[in-house]
Amino acid sequence: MLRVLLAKPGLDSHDRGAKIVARALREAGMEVIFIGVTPEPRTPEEIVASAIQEDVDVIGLSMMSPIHMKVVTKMRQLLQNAKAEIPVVIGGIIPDEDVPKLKELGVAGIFGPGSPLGEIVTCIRNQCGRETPSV
Amino acid sequence: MSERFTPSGLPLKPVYTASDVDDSKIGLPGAYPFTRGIYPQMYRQRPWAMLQLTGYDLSEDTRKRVEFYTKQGIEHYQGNSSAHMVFDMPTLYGLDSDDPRIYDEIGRNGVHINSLNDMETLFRGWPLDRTHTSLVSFAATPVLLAMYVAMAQKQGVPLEKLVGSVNNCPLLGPLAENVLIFPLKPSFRLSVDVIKFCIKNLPGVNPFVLSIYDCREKGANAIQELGISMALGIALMQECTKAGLKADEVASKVLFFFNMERHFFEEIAKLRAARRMWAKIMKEKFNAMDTKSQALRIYVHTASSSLQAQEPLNNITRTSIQALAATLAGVQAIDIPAYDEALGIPTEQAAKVAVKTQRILMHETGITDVADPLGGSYYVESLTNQLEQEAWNYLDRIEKLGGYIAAVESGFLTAEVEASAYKFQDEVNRGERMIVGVNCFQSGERGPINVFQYNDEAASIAVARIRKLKSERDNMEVKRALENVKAAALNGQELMPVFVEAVKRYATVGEITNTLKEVFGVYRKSSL
Repeated sequence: MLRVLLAKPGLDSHDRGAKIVARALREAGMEVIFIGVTPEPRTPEEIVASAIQEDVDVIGLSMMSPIHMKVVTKMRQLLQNAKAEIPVVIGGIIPDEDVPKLKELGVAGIFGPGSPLGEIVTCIRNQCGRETPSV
Repeated sequence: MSERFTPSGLPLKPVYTASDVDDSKIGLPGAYPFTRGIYPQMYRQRPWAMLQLTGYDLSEDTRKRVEFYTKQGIEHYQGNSSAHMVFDMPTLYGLDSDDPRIYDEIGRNGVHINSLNDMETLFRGWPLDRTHTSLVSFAATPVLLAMYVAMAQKQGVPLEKLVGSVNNCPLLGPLAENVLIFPLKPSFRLSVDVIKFCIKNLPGVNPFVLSIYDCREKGANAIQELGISMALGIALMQECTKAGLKADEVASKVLFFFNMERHFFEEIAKLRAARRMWAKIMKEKFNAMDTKSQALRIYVHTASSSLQAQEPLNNITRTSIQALAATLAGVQAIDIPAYDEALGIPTEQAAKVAVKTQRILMHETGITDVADPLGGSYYVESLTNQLEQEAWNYLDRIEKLGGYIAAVESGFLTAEVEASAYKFQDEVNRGERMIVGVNCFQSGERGPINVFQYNDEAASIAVARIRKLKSERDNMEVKRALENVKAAALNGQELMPVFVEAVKRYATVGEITNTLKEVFGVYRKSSL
């Protein structure tokens, strides 16, 4: 079964979208580990450590505050240091000019407001070679 | 003919007639149970107040936008200016600028405040007795209100002359996209402390804005919005009366902050039903007989979650229709988000359109001429009754689970709201719910649109400021003040007076919050 870590980096508490995606992934037969919002900021270190510990296939990040460039840069570095090849996809409010920069950093999927759930599910499913049943 | 339903699932007839409504129960505006509005002449008597929420970067940045709004025509009651401000996540969670983990979030999506210095910069030169200040401050309310009070005292403004409101409602935390720092019980205690302090010292300040808006944004439907808001209102009243306050003195100060979502008539019916429910709850459950306790004052923000990133100019149409519904429902205050808010903080240009939308509604449409223009409409009255009945049923379910606190702690309400959010999205995905420009009638363009640019230096300036503050203030005094905070928290004493003393010594939001965390612990949101 495909395992996905979904996280909300930092303090941003807008998690309606992330929770909807979590549910859509579960309904598509994936296992989702959800790192939600707490009164302490979620750091890239914490997210990467959880991803490795949980042996996930994909990391999904949801961000509404403009911290995505720094978070993604830092996570890429942490993943490289740990020699963990886990693809990262992100969703949220991402300005157009950041899209090519994020792709350059290796982000496998970028989903702005209004993205169809089916596209997110397909992208995540395609991130790993394993076959998963589509439900 | 296919069946039609409201978004919350109420069946709709193709036409309504006199047989759907009992005319004798419609009543009058300004009279119990206030279905038709809280004043006999509504907007002729008192136009709605305009609130345009703002907050970004540092105090000196946000104050410019507040002044811009005033210049464009935003106005509160009695010609007071309107300073309606939201704080950034670090401030709302009680984390200071010198915490390296939050550096990138300083001043993002809200104004950043560490100390009394920042509050004084924000309000410098504004007459506090003529400025209606509303702080969207969630769990940070007690400390930020303490700063506002300390600032007024330093300026020699009598506290009874302060006007405004404080959100003071982190209590929806798990059901809303907002902030709970401490577990629910100490959070209620802090909210009640603020209410007590305001009743005693700040008669012009509404000490509790029941922000059910955020729960709707998270995905609740109209029935849930009504049922949950009433359950929280009941829990709050119970906590306040337990703390020795009288039902009337609390109820007359409470404001409800509702969402104004897409379905025009369901939303109007919702607010009419809300007034009737609250009046009944106050009278029958709490024996609150003061008219002001029974007449529910409502403030709305049109639905931010209805704003689309695709073809953003269409959002002007959406918000105008929602604001029109709000005025037809007889609300007391309106906030209209700008058309570019699905993309970021509003630009000045977009903010200006929102202000003018308020003014066009107020001055060009004739809406203010007659109270409750929809009163007596077969459809509206019938839908109001239907929605009210469903909301009573929902409230009853919550009460049977042990009331608001128990229904949150068991996870019941969170699961309910999340299920509604998913249902909505699923309907959008399947095309059953149409969003123009998003899942139908797309033109494939976004722009041309400018996006707001933050002050890149805000974070580094904030860090330098707090370091300077900590090296210049009397740290022994701060330490003593924080010990007093801890002692008061441990001993169950009133906290607001010790917060005021602490912020006057330049104790920071983070220092006071950390001291409280030692006593109260930290809320852990259950993960999915």
